[in-house]
Amino acid sequence: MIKLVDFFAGYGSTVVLKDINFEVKEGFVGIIGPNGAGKSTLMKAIASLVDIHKGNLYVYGKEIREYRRKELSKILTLVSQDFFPIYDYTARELVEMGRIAHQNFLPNWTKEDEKQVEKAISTLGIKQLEKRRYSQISSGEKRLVMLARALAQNVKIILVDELELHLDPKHKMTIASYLKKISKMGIIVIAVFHDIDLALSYSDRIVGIKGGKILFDLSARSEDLKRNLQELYNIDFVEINGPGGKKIFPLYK
Amino acid sequence: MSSFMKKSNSLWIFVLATASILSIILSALLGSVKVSPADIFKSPIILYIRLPRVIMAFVVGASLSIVGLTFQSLLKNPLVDPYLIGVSSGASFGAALSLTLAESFGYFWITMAPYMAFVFGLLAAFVAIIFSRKGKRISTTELILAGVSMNMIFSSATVFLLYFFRRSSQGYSVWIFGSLSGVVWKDILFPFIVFVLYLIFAYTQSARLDAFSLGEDFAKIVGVETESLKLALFLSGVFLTATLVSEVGSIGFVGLIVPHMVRMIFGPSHRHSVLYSSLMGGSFLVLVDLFSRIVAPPLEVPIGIVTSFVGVPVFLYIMKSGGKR
Repeated sequence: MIKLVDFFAGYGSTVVLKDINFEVKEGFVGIIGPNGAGKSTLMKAIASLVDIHKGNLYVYGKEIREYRRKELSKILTLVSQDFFPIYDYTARELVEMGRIAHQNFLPNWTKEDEKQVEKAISTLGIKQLEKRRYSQISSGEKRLVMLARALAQNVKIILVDELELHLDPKHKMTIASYLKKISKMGIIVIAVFHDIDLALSYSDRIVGIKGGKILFDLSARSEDLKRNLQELYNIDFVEINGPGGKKIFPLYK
Repeated sequence: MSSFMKKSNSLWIFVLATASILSIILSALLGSVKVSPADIFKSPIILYIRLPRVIMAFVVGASLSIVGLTFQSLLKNPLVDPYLIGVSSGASFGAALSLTLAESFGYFWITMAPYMAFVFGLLAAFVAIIFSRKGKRISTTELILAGVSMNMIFSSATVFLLYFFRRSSQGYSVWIFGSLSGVVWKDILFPFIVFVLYLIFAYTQSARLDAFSLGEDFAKIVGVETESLKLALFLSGVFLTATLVSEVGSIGFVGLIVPHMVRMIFGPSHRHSVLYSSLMGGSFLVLVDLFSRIVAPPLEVPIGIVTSFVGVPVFLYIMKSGGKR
């Protein structure tokens, strides 16, 4: 459970997020907004990676600044497409890094660690990749490996930052379906989407961010979505009744 | 960390440890003075001159490699070693300074050599890092440039010190290029203890180092207390370097070459590379020292010159092959 109250944050003295009030108790929340709106910063803020200027961020009732890193990492984690390792670890090694928060100062790798790693690998169907080096697998597979790392961390909340970016439609769908599957496992998923359609199709709730502020926070099936999307992106949207029900698309002219 | 990797680990440790022992034996037997095989165990040349020197070479090579490895991970930069960011030259100046002070003010300053070396090594590293820092990122190019500047200024200061205060230009090459000659058994104990402690520390933190080498934000996300770990590994790494430098002067590039070779052969996982780097680094310097003793007897080539001849091409190769990021 996450609750942001009158929350301001950014980098150094630069304020990016302004007066955010936002609460997530369950489910799959999709975050969308124009480039530079502050979506990634919001994810980083919840992961405690940026400077908080004002306000409060509560994680399961406790103010985030009171958490030790190790403690926080057992509750939430972040998976970002912005990950370019210099050193070339194997997929398995990367997934195992998800267990670091569960180790003591001296490493104590247990059966539980092994079990969580295996579970994450099989949930995402990447057993065949585990011995391969990260540089040698495809972009889509890389995202799955990082997602498996997050799952191995055995957290209650997974934050996702544009994990579908630069992928083909098939792989976008794969990533989004896995996020959905993870949220069905009882893990809260808060995901920034680059692709609006994907966000609308998979998440339960849609939050629009613009200029560092929350513009709207609606159910993914809300009747008001079209109007709000038009305001969010400053372009027209159309509603189309397709085989999977009603869909909203940007109207490119 | 996991059972997945354990098998290959013990085999390679056995192979590398055997190679290390063989290199130590070989290096102790060879030299400008021939020792007949019958006298191996009673020859004073072997027992009191070569063996301590060879073991010191091993400790220094192992230490520099493992410090290089951890610094490369902490700074997320494969082009870093204690020499290149100025730690060794700073430490070298500190040690030379305490010897100079000892001549005027007494024996106490000789015992201060490792600590003076630590202070100046730390100073050099901090200046290099502060000048190359842009916001949260440390720029590779600027770190190397700042490190080169620190090297120049502290090497010049060392030469200045020896030339003007000790009225001799002799001996400066010991501090600038390093030398293992004249090492006796009692010199080894303190560096060896510091090395073993650092090795244990780095090895137990290998999973966290893995995460660190992928970026500080990533390390935080998976639960590493980055600030305290960084500070502890960095300070202890500089201290280890300083204790070595105050015994044998500044030897460059070992901490760059060896971790690079280890990662190329075994991959980047610190569970392997911490141990393998120290074994390979130790044997590497033992063999380099052997080479520097036997290439032009009775002259000895300063050991740092040999490591530079090997190290610079490796450095250029890493730079060209993508170490830039």
